[in-house]
Amino acid sequence: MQVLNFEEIYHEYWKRIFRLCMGYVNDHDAAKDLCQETFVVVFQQLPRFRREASVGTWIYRIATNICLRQINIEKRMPKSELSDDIKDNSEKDYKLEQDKMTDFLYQCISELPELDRIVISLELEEMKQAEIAEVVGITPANVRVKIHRIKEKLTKKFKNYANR
Amino acid sequence: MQTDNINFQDIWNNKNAEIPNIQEIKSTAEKYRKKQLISTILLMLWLMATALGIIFIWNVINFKMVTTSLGIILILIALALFLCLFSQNINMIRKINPSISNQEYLSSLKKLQRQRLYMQTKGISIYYILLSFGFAFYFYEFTLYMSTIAAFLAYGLTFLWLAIVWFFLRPRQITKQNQKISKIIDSLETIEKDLGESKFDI
Repeated sequence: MQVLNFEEIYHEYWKRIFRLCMGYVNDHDAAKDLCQETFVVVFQQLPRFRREASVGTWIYRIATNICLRQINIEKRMPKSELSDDIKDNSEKDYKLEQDKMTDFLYQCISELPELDRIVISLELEEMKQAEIAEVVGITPANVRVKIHRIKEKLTKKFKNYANR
Repeated sequence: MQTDNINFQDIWNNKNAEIPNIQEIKSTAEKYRKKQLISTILLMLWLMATALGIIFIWNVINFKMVTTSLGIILILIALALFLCLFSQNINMIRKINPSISNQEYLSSLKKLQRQRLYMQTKGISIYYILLSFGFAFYFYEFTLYMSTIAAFLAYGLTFLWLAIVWFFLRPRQITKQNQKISKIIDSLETIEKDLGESKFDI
């Protein structure tokens, strides 16, 4: 059996986990902290990982549970609002349109109910729906319905955003 | 902005951040391990000191009456219990295995919070009961040598204080814990509800 190397896992997954945490909290520093917590647990538990699930599923489970337990550790984190330069297109144009849309997407996702944030983040990380179901603990059919609904919601928000 | 067919994937992947040095993770893990070890050692030491204290008082110090020793012992047990309740609040969450599914994790969190609620509310009452009996027994021997008024004052004042604690302080502590933990349980239940919700309207 191939030996799992923490450094490889770290470099392969850090950005993905960061995006997931960012979608959950929409706060750069908080997302980095959550990401660190995740990899501390991965580091500690890696020697005991028995490959009952794939490495990806295992890491995403840890990351999403660490996001979820924020509820216990402190009150819900304050969401960062869209800053003025994003709201007002004419004011500062150094930020690319693509960046603005990215910020808007992360803000929209972080405003969804907790599990929806997780489901859509995993979907956008191109995880198979069956694996998402495994991470969250719901049926694949349920995942499909959720993704469909969330995407609908997001599209609507983006349309409103564009029409302002 | 083009909104007919939004490619969320591309927008999502556009978010970028520097990967921090891997060494940070390893040193944080080591820090956690040490902190956990130290707190376990401290708790063990305190419990051992309590046990030794009890043995010492029971066997070595020669009070004339058993009640005095019993009083001190009850007070020590109360203090040990207090410490256990206090340490229960720290790091319990980290003991739940985070590599289970979200659904299982949420129900473990809820179970943990229910346990905490029970311990924190019942535990506080048991602590005060033990403390009250401890004081009552402890004072008995000394009041025998006092005048009636002094004895009355000693018991009266102590129990006045304990009554204040029992009827005013304790309910407030319990309410505070109750509110804090119940709020967490409510949030957990809201998320859990979301787990099953979309099954019904496929």
